[in-house]
Amino acid sequence: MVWRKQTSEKGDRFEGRINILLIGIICGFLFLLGRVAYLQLWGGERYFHLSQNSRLQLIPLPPSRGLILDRKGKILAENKVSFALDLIPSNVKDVSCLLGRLTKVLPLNKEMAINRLKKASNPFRPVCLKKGINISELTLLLEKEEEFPGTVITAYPMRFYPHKKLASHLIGHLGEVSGEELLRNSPGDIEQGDFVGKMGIEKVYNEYLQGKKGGRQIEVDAYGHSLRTISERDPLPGDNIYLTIDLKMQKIAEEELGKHSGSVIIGNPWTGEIFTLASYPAFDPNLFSCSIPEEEWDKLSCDPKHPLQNRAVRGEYSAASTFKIIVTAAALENKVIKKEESILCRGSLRIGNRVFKDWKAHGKVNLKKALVQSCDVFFYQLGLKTGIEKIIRFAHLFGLGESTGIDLPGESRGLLPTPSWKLKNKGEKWWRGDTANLSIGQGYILVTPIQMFRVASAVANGGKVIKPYLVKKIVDTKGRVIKEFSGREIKKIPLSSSTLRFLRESLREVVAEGTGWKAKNRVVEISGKTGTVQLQEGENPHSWFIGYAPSKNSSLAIVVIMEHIEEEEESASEITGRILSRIFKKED
Amino acid sequence: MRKGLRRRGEYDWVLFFVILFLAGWGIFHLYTITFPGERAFFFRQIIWVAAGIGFLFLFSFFSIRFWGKAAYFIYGISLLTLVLVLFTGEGVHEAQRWLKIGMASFQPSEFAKLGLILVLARLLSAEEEISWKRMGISFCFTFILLILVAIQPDMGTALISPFLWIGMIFLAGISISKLLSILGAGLSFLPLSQFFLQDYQKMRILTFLNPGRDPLGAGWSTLQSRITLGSGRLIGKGIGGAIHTQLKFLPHPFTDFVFASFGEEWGFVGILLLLGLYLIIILRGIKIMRESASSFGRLVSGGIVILFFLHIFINAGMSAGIMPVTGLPLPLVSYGGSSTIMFFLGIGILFSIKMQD
Repeated sequence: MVWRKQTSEKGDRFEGRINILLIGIICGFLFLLGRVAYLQLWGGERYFHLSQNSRLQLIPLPPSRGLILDRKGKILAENKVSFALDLIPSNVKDVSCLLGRLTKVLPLNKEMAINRLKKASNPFRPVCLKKGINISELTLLLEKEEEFPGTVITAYPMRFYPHKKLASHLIGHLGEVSGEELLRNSPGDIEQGDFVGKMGIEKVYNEYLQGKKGGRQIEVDAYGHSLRTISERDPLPGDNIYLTIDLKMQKIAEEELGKHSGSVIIGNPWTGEIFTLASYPAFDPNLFSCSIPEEEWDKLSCDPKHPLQNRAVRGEYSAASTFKIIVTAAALENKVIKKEESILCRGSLRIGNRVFKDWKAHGKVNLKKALVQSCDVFFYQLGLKTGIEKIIRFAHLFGLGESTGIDLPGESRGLLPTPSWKLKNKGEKWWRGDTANLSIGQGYILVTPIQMFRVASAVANGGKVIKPYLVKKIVDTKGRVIKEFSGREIKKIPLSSSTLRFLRESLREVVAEGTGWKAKNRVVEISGKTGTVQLQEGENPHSWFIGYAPSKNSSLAIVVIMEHIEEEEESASEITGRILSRIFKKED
Repeated sequence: MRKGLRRRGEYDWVLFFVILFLAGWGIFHLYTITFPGERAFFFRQIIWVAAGIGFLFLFSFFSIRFWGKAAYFIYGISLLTLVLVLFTGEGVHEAQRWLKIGMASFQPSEFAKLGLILVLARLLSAEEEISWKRMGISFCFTFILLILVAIQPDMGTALISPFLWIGMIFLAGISISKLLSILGAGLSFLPLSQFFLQDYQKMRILTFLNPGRDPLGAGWSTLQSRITLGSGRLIGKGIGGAIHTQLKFLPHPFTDFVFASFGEEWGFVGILLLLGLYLIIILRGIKIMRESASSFGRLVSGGIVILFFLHIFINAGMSAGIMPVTGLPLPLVSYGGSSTIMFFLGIGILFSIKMQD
């Protein structure tokens, strides 16, 4: 680099170039100034009248939101034409008088309307007084139009979910945009009062579904009637989203789950495509499509059963005996035990000064029998022998304690307890009893149904941890595919083929002759593992079934969780059997 | 080579107060054209200007030799972030321009402009007479960056980078014959396409190159911006009186078309003052360029001056309807974190050139 002073000759040349640059820049500025002068001084009056003319109005044209369809193209969310009563604040002289006259024609919350008018940022833009006006109200309003100066009736696309409560958690619902969401979008695309996705697919893929607003500049007469359109820009409809969900399967699963709090997930164990994601209790997303009435909202949000919560990805439960799959894998891979080794189960085991119970005395059991009959005493000992570190390592490998990355908002990560976690959060040391408890999936451990779906899939597909996903493709209105999704393997669990064979054989026997016998049916052979979550004294236990079908060349993985089942009620395995036999019967 | 650096000059306080006034005016203007519900844009811009001032002083402490040594590195980082943004960038129908780092996201294409200026200055200052080879290399550096931003697509940055290059090789003292042959070669490409195209086809191509901005009818935004600008007349509609902007007739009133909303509110008098302030910035920049003792320093400051000018000319020209709609921010006035901070950084580098040699 030349750091030294320039020779005078070079300096002069530089000087010359700088002068030319300066002249060029000044010419550019003068040119700009000339153009601005032409627009503002020469054409100023004309443009001023064009803009100042109060007879000009900008009518925003809302785009129609993209459709949500199932994998076969059946509609899950669409738009219906609906009418709204808007008010242009600048055209109204006496608001309370007008509102008084309006309430005679249609039910209107006066306080809320006044509140909205107060919040209105722009006196020239319509403020929505009421959405979802029915036909008889509409005709009344149109008949007496001159009694309501300043009001405008607009047609707008309203979100409509034809299947109501079906798959409501995963599809989601809309709601008025919040201040925070306004900020996240680039200015102008979304404005106050717009509706955006608040939950589920509607929220995650809002940007695609939204579309782009258009607008129409019209000239109006003194009564607000449109005289002519000055310029217009069409709205751009949103993209359509094809889900991986199969409407038929979803219906079957929800019917079988019935009125039972819980969740069902069915998917492809090789790719992670989700065919069914059900959660009960559910809600009707149509309620949110125009502003939801307060009493409805209170009912939903204060319900002790939390109908707004998507249990499939947010429900956290103990893994219970389904966790034994992971302990078995950890023990076999670390060669802690031989497959044929057996112990005697007397129905309980003393560790330290506490007695750990089993659900029955199993007698002489080996590893396979312990899995098939779900013997707790065997697994207390196996867990202690394997050691907490190795169990935790394998639980991590199976994807517990971390989110699965499914395309739904607010997924829980569950909890995988470790000695250091206990010391930090409970202030206590980890003791052998904690390990024993963890070995049967009880204690501090928490998992979500979608995490257990990955565990079941991993056993079915030979040890691959997959990323579950809900969207197959996104297609724009012209039919062009914008984005297409396919299965993604996140990691592979190092499982030997003999361990895998053993696990698959044992899970087959669980249904054939073990604790999962209720899942047995004539249509399809199911493999899986049951689990019963023991809760506090006096509370009914939760029931798990995780598995896949058919046992060989599995095409579906399934997770069923049912909360607080009564003794005489059907368990998760029975529901699984019924769901899968109906699905496979249909496919034949 | 001189050993050891010593502090030669002082901060250019005239320059500093002019940019401070401009940024403050921009913030005030933003406040007057937003509604209470949109005030967050105003608060954010305040934070960015404050951060920009901090960066300005930080950058002014580095020596000019530092910029020389770091030039290739900075350019390399710019390219890296531009490649990264293509894969991880945010944006759906809009261009992929944003890169997320932790909580903050920024537009790498803004900062890449400074990287390009530094690397060009470094390349072109090495020899007294610029050889074809060196010019070819500098062209390649420009071209790689141009392609990367064009893919996003950020047509604004893509548009100004060749002009930046030509401006800098011109300043570096390329012989007129070489310059003419380059311009000739460049121009011979343009008319080939221009000759065969009708007006509406050109518009289509522009819309095609930049589809996210104006999907239906390229005329909408340009017409609205002309009405907005023109309706300001001599003295404007007064503070907070920019009705046409506030009624959202004007698209992107804080960023791309901020010049039009400025014209509506402050009138021709305001535009005159605004352009006058910009001219002061450019004159002070040229003064720093003249006083710099190294050709590297001269070329860097020259590059920054040219960058300012191109941004001003294209943004204002866009609002006035004499430039295609490409989306370049107006320096220090347009709302936007990356561009605001980038311009402050540019001034910071100018200061470091002024004070040290």
